[in-house]
Amino acid sequence: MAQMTHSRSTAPRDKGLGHWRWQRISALATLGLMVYFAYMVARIGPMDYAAAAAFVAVPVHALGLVVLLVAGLFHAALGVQMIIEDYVMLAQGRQRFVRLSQGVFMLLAVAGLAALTVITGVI
Amino acid sequence: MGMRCVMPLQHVAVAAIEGFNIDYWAMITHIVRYNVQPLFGRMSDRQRYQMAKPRPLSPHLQIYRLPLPAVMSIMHRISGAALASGTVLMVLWLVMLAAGADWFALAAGALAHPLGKFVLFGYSLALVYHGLNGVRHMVWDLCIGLEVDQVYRSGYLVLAMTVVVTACLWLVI
Repeated sequence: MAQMTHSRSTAPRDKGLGHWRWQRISALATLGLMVYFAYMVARIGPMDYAAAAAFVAVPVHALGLVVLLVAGLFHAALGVQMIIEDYVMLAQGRQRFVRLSQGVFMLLAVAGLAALTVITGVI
Repeated sequence: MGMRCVMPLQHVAVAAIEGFNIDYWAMITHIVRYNVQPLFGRMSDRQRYQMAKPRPLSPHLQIYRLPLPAVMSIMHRISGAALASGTVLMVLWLVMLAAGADWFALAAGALAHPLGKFVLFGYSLALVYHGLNGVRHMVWDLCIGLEVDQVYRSGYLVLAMTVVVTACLWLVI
């Protein structure tokens, strides 16, 4: 690692590292929970509605889905931001596209969390 | 525009290795045309045309056959974009589960349909590949396995494991 930490830039050393760092953190969280999610999908596959709803409503499963939703959508937003920043020029409204994609992922997170609160019957 | 440098150092190095088998006349004309002549007076139309006409291009993306790591890199991005789009379907499934038995039956029917199964298979394939290649990226972040032969070996390993894991997912379940 040592050879990568020396910057000759005058910018603060950790400035701009946030995206990179959060991408790794959310990736680890998503990776672990996706394995768990695959297990859940396999279990839910043959179930009928009542059994599926009850299965998702189990606190551990619901909590796993909540964290997966947040971490996964956060990771997706960071990744899509990278793609937009690579292929859309500033003059073409790059920032607006990034904000738009973030809004879409935020909406998805809200929708997913709302669905989970309904399924678990928290509210 | 034309190249304005006198002669890049690496060209000198290459020329030295190749025994100075240089077209000296071309070199001198090039230097005079692009570095000396512009200093004196106006350029003729012919000269302006010479300087404006497209210069030879280095081989680039559309000319090279992409090496394996490059293909895997762009596949990582494509699978990531596919997964990001697929979150819409995942959230939709959750919302349909919350919406009641009728909606859930509709979702289950869609997933049982061959097209739904195809989408699910594609999603799982992208997920497994992106996950495994993501692990590879994080190992690289620790400065491990960055030699060219190691990069190729881990690449083949990821591709093989993607096939095996996806096959296991669909055969076991």
